[in-house]
Amino acid sequence: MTYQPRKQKPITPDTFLRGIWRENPVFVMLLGLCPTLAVTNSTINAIGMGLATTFVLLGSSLLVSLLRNLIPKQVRIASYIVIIATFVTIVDYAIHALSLELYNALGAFIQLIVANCVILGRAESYASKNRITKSLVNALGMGVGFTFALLCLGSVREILGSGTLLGFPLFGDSFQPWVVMILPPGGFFVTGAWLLLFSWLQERRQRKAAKEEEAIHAPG
Amino acid sequence: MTMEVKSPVPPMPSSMAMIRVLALIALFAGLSVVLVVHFTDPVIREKELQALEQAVFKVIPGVEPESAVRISYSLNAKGLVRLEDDAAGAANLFAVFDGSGKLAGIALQGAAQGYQDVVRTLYGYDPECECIIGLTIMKSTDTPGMGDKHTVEANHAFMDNFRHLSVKLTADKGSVAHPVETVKHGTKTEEWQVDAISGATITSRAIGKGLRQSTGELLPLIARHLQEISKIPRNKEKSGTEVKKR
Repeated sequence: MTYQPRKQKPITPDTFLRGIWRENPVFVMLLGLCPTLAVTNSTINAIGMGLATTFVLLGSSLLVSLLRNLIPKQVRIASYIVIIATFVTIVDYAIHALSLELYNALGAFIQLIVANCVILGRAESYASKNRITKSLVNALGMGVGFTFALLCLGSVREILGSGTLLGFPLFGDSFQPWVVMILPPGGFFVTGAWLLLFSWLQERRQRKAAKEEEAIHAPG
Repeated sequence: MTMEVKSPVPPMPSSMAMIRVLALIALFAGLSVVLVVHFTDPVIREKELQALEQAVFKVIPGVEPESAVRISYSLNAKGLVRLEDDAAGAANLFAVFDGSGKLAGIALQGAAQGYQDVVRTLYGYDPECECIIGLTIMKSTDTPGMGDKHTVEANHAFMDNFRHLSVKLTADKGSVAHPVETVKHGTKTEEWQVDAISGATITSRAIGKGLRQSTGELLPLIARHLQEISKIPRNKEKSGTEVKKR
């Protein structure tokens, strides 16, 4: 039997967009919920964690895709973890050098990006099977989708829990912050509310598509 | 008739191929980590020193950071050792001198277990009045909105406890006469007591305990070395600009 290279689909807008909406890592696939719940008590933390994860996603996807034909199947997970851990170490030191405050706020969750299923999942299911450019575009979409999800949670929790957005006060002195929103239960409440909204939007779209199909096939 | 059954499992690659790939990845990982540490470590040290400097000047009220001079020391029962700026992270005492070269105060560190983790503080001590004259939270990861660094520091009533908190020594200068004590919110009666934050009692107690332990250990030693600490080293005189340069 001769080896035949698998035909690859070309890069389409969907390669990038699927991570943001249809396959959003947090709101659709429910991956990486640990940092999502833990660090989204403020918008700046959410942006910091989102960007750090995006960088690791891009770096690891680049390298995994580059070495995809060299890495034997038997040692692939070990190889992916070492590659991901390297980029996490780089981002850990970079954040420490850029902002001590952000570094202290994110704490151990930067190092824990290594164990984020979103990244290992991308390496295993996408980067190891696709060309570099395609893997990078997909990883960027996933990173943007993850950052978007964290931002959705972080902004709502900060506005309700502290009465501020990006540290700027939004309401007058009379505003009584809902402290529970920046505590762990607040993370679950807000995640639940966003999941509800996403499910409802998805269901509405499906209903609409079904109605359109019905109208097309309707007699007359 | 015999049928040839093809195994779905791919053939095992040679061990050398696996070792080669793992070695290549490990080499890349090692080189990347070394490079990133090499380039970011000086920046991180510089930023930590700056943060420490800001905190030190924050707890000694009335000094101008532009003209003030900070000297770092390591103080323990064995003696007093002056440390250079690059080793300031290992210091546990910072003497702050104003523009005229007079000792404006001493910054010391306190630490005790809070609700979630150790609460670290830096406080200013005035040897003249034998009192604490300022405090800042270096680290507190206690309940956000109740006992975290920003919430505690924004509570003016609580921070007022540390504008003049008595830590007078006994006549023989061997111990603190009335160790710092944290009391329930609204029940403070003595000048060595800390009025706790309502709703963040554990964090308040941790701050008080950190101060009690630190003052109990260091203030008698400071009294013993006060003459040495009060003198500004010659090479640091009129060097206030070096603080501004950083």
